[in-house]
Amino acid sequence: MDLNIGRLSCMTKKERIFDDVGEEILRILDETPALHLENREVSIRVPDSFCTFNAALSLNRQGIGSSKIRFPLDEIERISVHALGSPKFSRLDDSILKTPDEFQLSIEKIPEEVEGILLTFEYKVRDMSFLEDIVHTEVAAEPSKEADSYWMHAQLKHLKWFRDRYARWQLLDTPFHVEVAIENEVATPIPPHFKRHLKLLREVAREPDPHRIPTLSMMLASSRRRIRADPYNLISSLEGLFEESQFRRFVEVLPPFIYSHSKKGNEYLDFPTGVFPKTMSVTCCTKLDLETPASEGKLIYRKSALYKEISEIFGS
Amino acid sequence: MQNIYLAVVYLFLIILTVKSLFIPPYALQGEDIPGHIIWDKLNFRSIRIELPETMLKNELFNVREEMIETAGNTVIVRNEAIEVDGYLGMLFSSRKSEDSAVRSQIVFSFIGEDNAILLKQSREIYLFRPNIDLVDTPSEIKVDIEKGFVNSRIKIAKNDEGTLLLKIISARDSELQIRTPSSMVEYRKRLLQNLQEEYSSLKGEYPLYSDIVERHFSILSKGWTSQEDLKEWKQLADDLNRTWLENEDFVEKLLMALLNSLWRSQRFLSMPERLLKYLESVVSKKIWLFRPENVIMVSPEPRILKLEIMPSDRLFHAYDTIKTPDIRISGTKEGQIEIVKLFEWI
Repeated sequence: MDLNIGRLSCMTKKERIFDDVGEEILRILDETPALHLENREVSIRVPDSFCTFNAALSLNRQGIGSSKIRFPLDEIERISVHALGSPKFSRLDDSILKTPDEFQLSIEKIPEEVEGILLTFEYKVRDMSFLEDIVHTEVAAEPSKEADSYWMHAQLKHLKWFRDRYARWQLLDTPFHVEVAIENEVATPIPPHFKRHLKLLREVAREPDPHRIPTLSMMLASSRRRIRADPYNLISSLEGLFEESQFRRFVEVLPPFIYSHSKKGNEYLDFPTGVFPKTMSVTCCTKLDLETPASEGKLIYRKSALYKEISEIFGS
Repeated sequence: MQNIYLAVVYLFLIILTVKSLFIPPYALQGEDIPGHIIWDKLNFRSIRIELPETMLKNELFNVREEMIETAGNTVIVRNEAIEVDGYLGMLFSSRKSEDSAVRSQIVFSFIGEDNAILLKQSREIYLFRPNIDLVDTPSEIKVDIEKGFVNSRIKIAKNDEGTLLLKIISARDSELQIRTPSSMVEYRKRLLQNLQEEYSSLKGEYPLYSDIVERHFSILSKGWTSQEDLKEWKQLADDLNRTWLENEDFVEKLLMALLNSLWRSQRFLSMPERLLKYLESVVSKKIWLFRPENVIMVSPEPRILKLEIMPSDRLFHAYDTIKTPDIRISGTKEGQIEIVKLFEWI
């Protein structure tokens, strides 16, 4: 059986294009004389690293006698067996046994008339780093001044390898993290008198000279009068806009991509203060398969809606 | 009439044959540019890709690379080089150009026998980058410490394309040196302490990624002090993006550890101060200033300030550092002034 499991001979560097658990399952099947792999299908849900692997196998009972095939892999959550011969596609639950350490497939429990079986393995992929070798994803770093959207693109690197080996192969919900810059829509609508008030608050907090506190307090009271609500409530309303449930309203993801979730962006490079993000990290997903080896999508950022909402909070 | 007929036939041919041709409409100069062509039932000898000078072929997918011909900016993909008929994946790189905004065409031609062009389509791409210029530097600045005013400012102009990340540092031989205000020193100290605790348990939980955790901590402690640091940042950002794909849980926990540390340090920086720091860091449209709270100490006696402005784009590509000439700075009395107040963004 030519499995050619994880590596491509034509590649100059070692690239892994099959997941580790799948590799081990294939190796077990390959080393079992009673089974011959006829066809295979794979479906990987990327966000939860969950793989459904179907192996269509012909049975060779000659000279095998009693045979148990062991799958001692912790990651396997379920194995189901279906008959491919007659009776068509019936479940063969009796042939599979789950013990505390492994799954066992008993060939002798498969009815004599069954010539082939479909084994379905459902498992958690241990290490998803192989994705990098099979799919290339790219997202716009930022839109041009005329654009209000971020492009996204995904493409398979080794279509032939999968076409040659799989009847069906699909990668579901390949994630894209779009860093949507929002700083302009956050900072611009906050009126100058509110900024002055913030500065005064800071000055009062830092003032070392107690004699200046009364003067500063008076200035603070005067600047507070220009603000229509409790400044802390306004700041809190602003902060609330960056919660996922609220920010969702300001982005639209066009098919074939779909919106997954969003959160405050990655301010991991400067010394952060948290709370107020310059970017929101929006995760979008798409699907790739043998018929759709590339996918393009668009995330539309409704910047004027966010600007308007912040203006309304601060009454600017 | 004949022209209309030909146009209809041509359109029909395009619809029938090229199912999808994608090149992004815009990109930041220096950004990787992906693309693909998906076709159906097209008999051709080769695909010719004519790239503008601003772009280079990086990688093609679903082809035998050794059979690709490249001549100048033209790439020829022969039919027999394509592994599975109907799909060509592409990855180009773009170059930083003299012009901060360039519109270019990428032309794709399907070539038949006798070099006849069966199908020709082009896509326009707009490549842009931010740009800043030092427009004017006063030779002397007087600071009113009481009011926090300055009589003259350093004028910086930015084009309206692309975001610039700016770090301003004082030159080594500058008499006046930029420093962190004492309130922020305490905040940073506490934040780093908390972060060290959070990260140390994260390293125990994810030993495979302890290198990323340590590099992140090192970057946060060190900050951005040279253009070289940007390379480290870029590398870390790339590694984090890659890690996100393979282990989202880890990246989530890394960010959660950072947020926890911020939360635990909040009494050292109030919410209004955080918002103010945020607003002060957005100095102008699409300019993010790092450490906007940094100050210089001035006195009635004039002293020389020399600044270095280090720009970078969103991809952490370093741009040329701008060095200001000597500026004599004096104050109405001893005191400090935020460095950001010395600038005017036009």
